[in-house]
Order: sequence, then C-alpha cells, then structure tokens
Amino acid sequence: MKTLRAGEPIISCRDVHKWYTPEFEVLKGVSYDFYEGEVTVVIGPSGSGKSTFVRTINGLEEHQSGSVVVGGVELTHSVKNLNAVRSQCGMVFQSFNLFPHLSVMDNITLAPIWVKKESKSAARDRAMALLERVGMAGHASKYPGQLSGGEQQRVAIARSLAMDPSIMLFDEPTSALDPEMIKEVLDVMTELADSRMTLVVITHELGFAKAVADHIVFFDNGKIVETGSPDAFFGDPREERTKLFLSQILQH
Amino acid sequence: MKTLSDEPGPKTGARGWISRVAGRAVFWARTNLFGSWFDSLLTMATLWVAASIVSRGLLPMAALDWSVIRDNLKLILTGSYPEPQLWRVWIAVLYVSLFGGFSFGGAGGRMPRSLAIVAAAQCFLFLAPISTSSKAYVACGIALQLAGFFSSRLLDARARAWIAGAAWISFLPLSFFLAYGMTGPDGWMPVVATNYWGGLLLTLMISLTSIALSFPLGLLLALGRRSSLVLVRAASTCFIEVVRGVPLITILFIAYLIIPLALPASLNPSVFIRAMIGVIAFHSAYMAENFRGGLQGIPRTQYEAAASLNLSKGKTMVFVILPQVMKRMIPVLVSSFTGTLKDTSLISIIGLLDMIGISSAIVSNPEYMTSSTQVLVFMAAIYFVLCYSISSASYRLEARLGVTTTKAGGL
Ligand SMILES: Nc1ncnc2c1ncn2[C@@H]1O[C@H](COP(=O)(O)OP(=O)(O)OP(=O)(O)O)[C@@H](O)[C@H]1O
Ligand SMILES: [Mg+2]
Repeated sequence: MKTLRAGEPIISCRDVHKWYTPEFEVLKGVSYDFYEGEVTVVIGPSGSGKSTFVRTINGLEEHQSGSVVVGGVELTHSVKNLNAVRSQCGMVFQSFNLFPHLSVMDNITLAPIWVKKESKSAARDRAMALLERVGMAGHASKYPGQLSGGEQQRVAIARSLAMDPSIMLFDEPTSALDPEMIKEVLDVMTELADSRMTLVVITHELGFAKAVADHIVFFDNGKIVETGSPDAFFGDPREERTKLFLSQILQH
Repeated sequence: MKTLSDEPGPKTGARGWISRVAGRAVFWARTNLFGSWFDSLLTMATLWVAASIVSRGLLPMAALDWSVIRDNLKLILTGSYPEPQLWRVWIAVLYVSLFGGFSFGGAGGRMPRSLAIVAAAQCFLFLAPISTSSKAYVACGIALQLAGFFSSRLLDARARAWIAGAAWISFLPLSFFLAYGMTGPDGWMPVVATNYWGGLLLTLMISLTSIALSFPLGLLLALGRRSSLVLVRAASTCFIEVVRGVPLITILFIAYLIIPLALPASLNPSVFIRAMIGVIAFHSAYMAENFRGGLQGIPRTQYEAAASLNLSKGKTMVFVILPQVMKRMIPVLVSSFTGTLKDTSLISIIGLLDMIGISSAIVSNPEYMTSSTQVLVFMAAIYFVLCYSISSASYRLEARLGVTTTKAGGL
C-alpha cells in the first residue's frame, strides 16, 4: 500500500456509476471520501444500492464509470490492481459465508497460507490470537455448521482480519442474527473501531451508528442523499427524504 | 391388544426363553406385517411372489448342470491371456486384496458389508473346483486382506490415508504394467498384447481406466464449459452435447472405424485402445454434466468470500469449491462408476471378448448350447458382486463424510 499523504482519503469515490442492465442504473454518480481510522455507517432503504456501493469498493462489483481509489490504488480491470485493493479491504457478509467444509481454524488460515504464503505454524498462531480477540478461542476445531450465527459471524470477522486489512467492509453483519447474538458481533466491531481501524458498515442498528460512527452516509435510489456526524444526522436532518426515512425506522 | 409389558414376569430356562422370543416374533409380525388388512394383503402377495421365485427360479437353477462355468472359468475371467503368465494377473488381484483390506481396516467399526461380500466371493472361489495353484492364490489373497485390515489399525489416520492414497493411485499404472509386460518373448515378463486380454480382466481394465480418466476429463470439460474464454467454452459445450446426444454403441463404432483413419497408419491403435477412447469420451461427457450440476449447487457467496480474501480463481476452485462439490457428488459419482462398469459390456459389439463377448462365444459352442442360463446367471452374479461392493463402500464413505443423514437402504 502506498503511504497516504496527510489529509488524503483512504477510499475515494468519484462520480461512480453502475448499471446491472442497460436500463437499470443502481449507482447514479456516487462521490464520497473515507478517511483512515474513521467509522462510516451507511444507511438507507432496501434496494437503494448500499450493498452494491460497498461491494464496488473491493471490486466484487464492477463499476462502469467514475473512479474508486483505495489506498492510492485505482480499481481498474487489471488483476494486479484488484488484488492490491482487496489486500487492503476485509469484507464481512450478511450470511457469514464461511467455508462449510473447513474447520474454524482452516477457514481462518486458508488465505494467509495460500495467498500471503505464511508458514502454517505462524498462520495458526495468528489465527488463535484473532479467535481470542473475537472471543472464539475455544472453537478452533469446530465446523461452521456447529456454530450459532453470531459465532459464525465472529469467525468470519477473524477470517478477514487474518489478511491484515487496513479497511473492513461490513454488509449488514447482524441482519441474519437473532437479537441475542447481535450484541456479541457489535461488541467485536466496536472493539475494532476503538483500535482505530477504518470501518465501512452497512447496518440498521441505529444504536451502534449513534455510539460508534464518525460519519453517517444516507443512501437513497442509487445516490448519497445526506451525510453528517451522527448527532447532526439523527438530531437535525436537513433533507426531507432523510426525515421521512428516519421517521419510518424510528417508528419501530 | 396384548403388549410386551403385559406379559407375565420373566421366565427362566430354555422354555422361557423360547416362549419369550416367540412372543416377540408374533408381536413383531402383528405390528409390521399384519398391521392392517392392506398390510396383510401386501405381506401375503410378497410371500407368494417370493415363494414362486424360489420354487420356479432358484430351485430348478440349482439343479442345472453348472460344469460349463467350471470348464470355462479361465476364459470368463481372463480370456485368452496365456496360462504361464497368469501369475501377473494374480499379483494385481493380491495387491487389491492387500490394500482393500488396508483401506477398510482404517474405517473402524464392524467389517463393512462390501468387504464381507468380497470375502464370501473369495471363499466361494476357494471352494469352487479350480486348480490347486489358483486355490493357493485365493488363500494368499484372503490372508493378505486380513493382514492389510489389521495392520492398518496399527497406524494413525494420517499415515493410513497417505499409504492408501498412494497405493490406489499407483494401482492402475501398475496393473497395466503387469498385464502388458515389458520384455521380449523369452524374458521374465513377456509382452502380452491387448488382443489376448479378455473376460473379466478386460472388462475391469477398460472400465477402471475409463473411470479414472473420465473423472478428471469430465471436471476439465465442466470447468471449460464455464470458462470465460469463448473458444474453450464452445469446444467443451460442443463435445459434451454431441457425445451425450449419441448412444454409446454408436460412439464405439465411430471410435472403431474412424480413429484408425484419423491417425497415421504407423500408429494403428489396437481395438482395445479404440474401445477405451470411445468409452472414455462417452463417460467424460456424462461426468462433465455431473460436475456441472455439482458446481451449480455451490452458492455464489462462496466465490465472493474467497475473492474478498484475495484467493485466485484457481485456488478458490481447489480449496473452496471442489471439496464441497466432491462431497455432494459422491452418490452421483458412484452411480456413474457402476454405470461405467456395466456399460463396458457393450464393447463386445466391436469384437472385444470382454465377459459378455466371451459368454456369447461360449454359448455358441454346440457343446454348451443348452447352458446359456448358467453362463448368464454367472455373469450377472459377477457384475452384482462388483457393483454392490462399490455402492456399499460408497454408503460408508457418505456416512463418514456426513453427506447424507438418512441411512441408505440396504440388506
Ligand atoms: N446481481 C444483480 N443483478 C441485478 N440487479 C441487482 C443485482 N444485485 C442487486 N440488484 C438490484 O440492485 C438494487 C440495489 O441492490 P443492493 O443490494 O445494493 O441494495 P441494498 O441497498 O443493499 O438493499 P438491502 O438493504 O435490501 O440489502 C436492488 O434493486 C437490487 O434488486
Ligand atoms: Mg444489501
């Protein structure tokens, strides 16, 4: 990763457009800068393009125009750039996406061993430390099918961390979880935020957003409608669309 | 209705035991066989069918003159493979006995059914009217099998897996080497050209080779069909669809007639090679479809998770996708393996004397004209033993890998 100049964003998106089909434009010109060590929470109604946007940042979705620059590397079609970007971004999915045929330990060490060419023992040591960090130290030899949703998600976080990313992307990490498991995952994420890691989090957990986020980004209909600090955003939203959305979700 | 708990208190002695067992049997029959009038009807019908099979089928068959099998056993098993060289085939058989026992020994628990069946077949062979030297080999095989079975229990799982893996991977090359030979006619291991191979030997050589090769070829074709390179994709799709659209018989004829024309005359592949190419082409296309189905069963999210960890496409396939595909595909793979084994019988159509070819040759001999039933039944028995061993071994494998949670129905 290139060293960033002072004040340079770690992720910079400029006028990003994406079409799934020629008629269907999902991202309609998104520009936003994410800064190192900050926590950004992305919210917005279903289908507004939040996932697409975050997946564009690590190249899981291709954008058709505009630029995405991550840690000084522009996302292009080149495999080299794609790998350089992905090596800086960890990604955590709504449905965990652990590899079901591998034990927790093997899930975590697979990529360090085969991508970063770490020695087996070094990878295992680090995996144990990460499992400790997410509170899963006792589960190393279990298989994903033997874990609860919250436990699987914490393993998934450890798996991403094992690649030493500087940015972690979360796509609704707690949406598939039962209420009593949401907290254990949010606690891990809060701990990551406290360690000054750059986080981009799509979530409907407003408590987390208010307590942990540095910035809120509100998405609607493929565009960023409003951004701001949590206090300003939740306390005094400017846009009508934001007010409507907040009134809808706060009803629950 | 009277239930077990209503029975009088425990009785002692043999009489008590007998009456208890009888009571239980009646209870079992009442609940399982005569639970309702419909069940009773089914039970009676089944009994009637079973009785007629025994009285009209099995009993008359046992009374037949089975000398045709004894007289032609060597032909049925190895065709015209030269007698003095048979020891080479026996070595391959002993190798299978040793590592068959070895592989199953590690599985732990009771002796698996397939092994029991093979053992029964061996004992049968041992008691059958065969030459003394053959008996010695069979006895040796049984001993090696037991030796393998118990020695593998002394090793740890890792060593066992390595040894068994290495043994089975080298089995086919080794048996080709043994069967074909290497020296001139006067050497210690003279070449036996493939046109002398026949019977079960030929059947197994062709079907095992085509299983071993159509598996990786099918995988390559399936991956080719998903490739982003247009030419690769078109070629794979075309091959798969054309081969699947044509019956195996036709493919065998095409291989028989066209391959010699397509290749330079100096190569002149034997009928054995031509048949093998045809069978392999046919089964790789089907295998490719099996793999395609298996690959489709893996959700896109697995690829995404791997991509987000920066695993390359190749590593994603090898470490993430294929292990999951293989595990799911065991039942399908096994049924196509047994299918391959049985389909090989068609090669007799292009003049190869596999088991079926040999048996029709035998029954066309006026001396054995009246013995066609015996020959057919014997063929069927051999095929059954082979296929049933394969499938019951696979049930075990499935159970060990936790593929299926329900028990596969068995005897
Ligand atoms: N692979 C795809 N092909 C075509 N359309 C897609 C694809 N993925 C998403 N879409 C569509 O793009 C739009 C935006 O999807 P996206 O998943 O980004 O929304 P989201 O804001 O994350 O919504 P949610 O809160 O429900 O997750 C939706 O209308 C969706 O149906
Ligand atoms: Mg989404």
